[in-house]
Amino acid sequence: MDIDLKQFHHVFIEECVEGLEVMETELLKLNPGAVDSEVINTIFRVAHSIKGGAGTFGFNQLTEFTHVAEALLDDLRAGKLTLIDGHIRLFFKTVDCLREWILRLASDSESIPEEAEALKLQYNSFLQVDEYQQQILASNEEITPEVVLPIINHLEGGYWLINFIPGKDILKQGNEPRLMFAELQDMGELKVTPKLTAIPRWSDVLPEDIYVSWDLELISQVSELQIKEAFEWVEDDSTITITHSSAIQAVIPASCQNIVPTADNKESTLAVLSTQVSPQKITNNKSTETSSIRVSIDKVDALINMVGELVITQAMLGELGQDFSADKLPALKKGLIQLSQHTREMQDSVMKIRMLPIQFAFNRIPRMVRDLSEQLGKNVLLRMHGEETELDKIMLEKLSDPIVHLVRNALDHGIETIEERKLTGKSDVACLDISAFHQGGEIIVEIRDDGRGLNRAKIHAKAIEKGIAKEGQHYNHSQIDELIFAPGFSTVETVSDISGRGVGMDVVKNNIESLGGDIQVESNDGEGSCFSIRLPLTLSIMDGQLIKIGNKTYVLPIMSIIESLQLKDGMVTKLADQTEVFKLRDEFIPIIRLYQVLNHETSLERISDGLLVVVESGANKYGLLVDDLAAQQQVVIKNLEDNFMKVGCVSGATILGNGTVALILDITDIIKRITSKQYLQQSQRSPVAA
Amino acid sequence: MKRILAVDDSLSIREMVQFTLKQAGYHVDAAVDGVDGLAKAKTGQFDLIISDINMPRMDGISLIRHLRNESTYKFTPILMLTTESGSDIKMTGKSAGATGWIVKPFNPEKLIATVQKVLR
Repeated sequence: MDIDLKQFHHVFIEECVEGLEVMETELLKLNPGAVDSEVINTIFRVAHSIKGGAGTFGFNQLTEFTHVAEALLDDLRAGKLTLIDGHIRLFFKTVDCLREWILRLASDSESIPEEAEALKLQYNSFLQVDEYQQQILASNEEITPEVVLPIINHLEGGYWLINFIPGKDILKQGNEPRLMFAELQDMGELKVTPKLTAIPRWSDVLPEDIYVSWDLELISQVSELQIKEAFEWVEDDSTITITHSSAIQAVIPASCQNIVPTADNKESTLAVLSTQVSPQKITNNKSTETSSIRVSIDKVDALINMVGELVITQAMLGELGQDFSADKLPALKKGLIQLSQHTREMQDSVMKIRMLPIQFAFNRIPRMVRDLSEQLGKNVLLRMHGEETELDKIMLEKLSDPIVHLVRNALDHGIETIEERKLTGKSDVACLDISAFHQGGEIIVEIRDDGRGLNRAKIHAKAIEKGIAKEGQHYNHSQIDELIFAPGFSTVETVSDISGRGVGMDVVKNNIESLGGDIQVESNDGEGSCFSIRLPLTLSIMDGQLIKIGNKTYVLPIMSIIESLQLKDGMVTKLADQTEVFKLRDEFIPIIRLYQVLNHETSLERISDGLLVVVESGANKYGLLVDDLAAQQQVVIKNLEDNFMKVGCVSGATILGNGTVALILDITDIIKRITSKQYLQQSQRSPVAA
Repeated sequence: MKRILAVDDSLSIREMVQFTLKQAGYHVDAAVDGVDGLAKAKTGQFDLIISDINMPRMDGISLIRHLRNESTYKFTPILMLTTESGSDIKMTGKSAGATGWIVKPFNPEKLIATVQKVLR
């Protein structure tokens, strides 16, 4: 029987993608100092199942590759090898490589990521060490330099790491790095990784100077002296660090380490194998991630239950209707109440299917923070809270990019370098807190760092330079902070590969606003900044409070309402700028006459004739004056922009039970308009007809 | 074929360098001192210049300085042939723009190996 295994490929690929996520998460928990065997076990299982699957489906090279990774993990698991930083870095690179590989498989490509071969060699160099270590263990001899030296001699020349930071002038002397690399290549297997971090501003670049440095990995049986010869003519001007694989360190007990001539530099040995973050790889990953949705069986069960209940209610109502008489009215009412209850519960259950834990937007962050802080030479402690908070799937997808952007910004601009932190008396470990939680029917996502905070002077100056702010006009702190969200704003002087890639905060803000959310920044000079994103739970349904303004019905989102009350005459005070306020307990709350804002006729003669709906926007409360309150109900939000156009003060529309359309008021936008001077001037010029 | 200019005031050294490098498959021209070397260098584009340090009329260091001012020789490898292995002369040479050095006395193998280092 001929079975086409291809039909299972996509399942295998999906499995691998999930496995790699797990592997990465677990890798982040690994720490050479304290090894949790369960973590290693989990990573091992992932590697093992990828290997197994690859074998089954005929991806032989993938099998071979995962085999070496598995072998090393197995040795670590069995305690034959001691975990070192080098291993962890190698595993991270393996995850990246496998991800790329899987993506290529997913697009039916036979090609293999270029780095796979080099990684395999590294695994082998670690595993080779393992063999010798076994010999030592088997020999039962006391570990002395005499025992260890032959091993070192054998490995001498095995795996070299060379960090080459050329002198700026070497090109002017006709010394081309290419030629030196060619010479090294003649000695063995060479991998060249350029590092571009030292490239200055474009305008400062002198074409004849050299700004690139290189990490070279050489696998060869040569001596350090031979390697040095390749750099003979430039070694005075350049910084050349040649180190042996720290794999040796793993086998040799500390007491003997002083006899290892080249393994004395712990930091730079395998550190140069560091993984550079590649934004492309991260985005690549998304396509496979979102093509399907996994729903927990509990949610499906709840839904099926609900359908059952509905069927029963429907049967009951049907029976009532068949032979209806006036005395059955109470039973009908009861049935209808039940029906509406079940409809609502069913709706909840359906909505829950689309809800996913925010983890999906968070899970790239630990790795990103690890890589970036390494690259930037910063020491960052990442803490994440509330990863289990659930959010609409569509929103999650759109939220990923803004969060990544904000985290990158925090690492690049917000958090200081270790030196800078020491100078300002801070602990050299910076804290980055990312939290998600519910607050009054909304989801809040906070990205908080304890870095240097927003530089208001710089922001102000830049905004004036860009024509975003007017010179001579006074801006308070929060107004200045707001400027960073203006289109075209950027304080970045040098475009680094970390931030300032042309995507500004305005894009972040727009993305969040398109989700019906809002972003705010709070910052204290020298103490850090906090970006908080507020989002509705879901895009399509919300609890609404119907209100009457004149003879029109509008909807207010219930989640922003705190309370409603009726004022008595004399409770309203007018401030110098004509703002009306009233005192609610200990707070003065400004009153917004909605009929004015919306330009409607009103039957109200005095404020005391209407009702005040107290709403919260940010940290401030406002009293919205309405004619009357009507029912509360769940409303299905229809997007106005898609069907008509964007309308100020309005976030969408809905269809009421009687078939009429009601607009949903956008409280944030109304308040923004009210508080901007422009609006006040306008409203003073054209008093409302009321 | 790669072109090399050998500048040395000693005939025997010139002969030896020319012979050795021609054997190794290079096209080799020779000049007798810095002035001659500079003039010859300007008339043709060489891929490598090997120059003695101590020479009459114009020494090797001055020759390197002049050559580095020529746009065509800005990045061309220039090797110093030197009897002194002291680091002083090497540093002077480097700051003038020399790529590297060959210490005299040298054998043909060493010369070829060094030339191959910069001509690939």
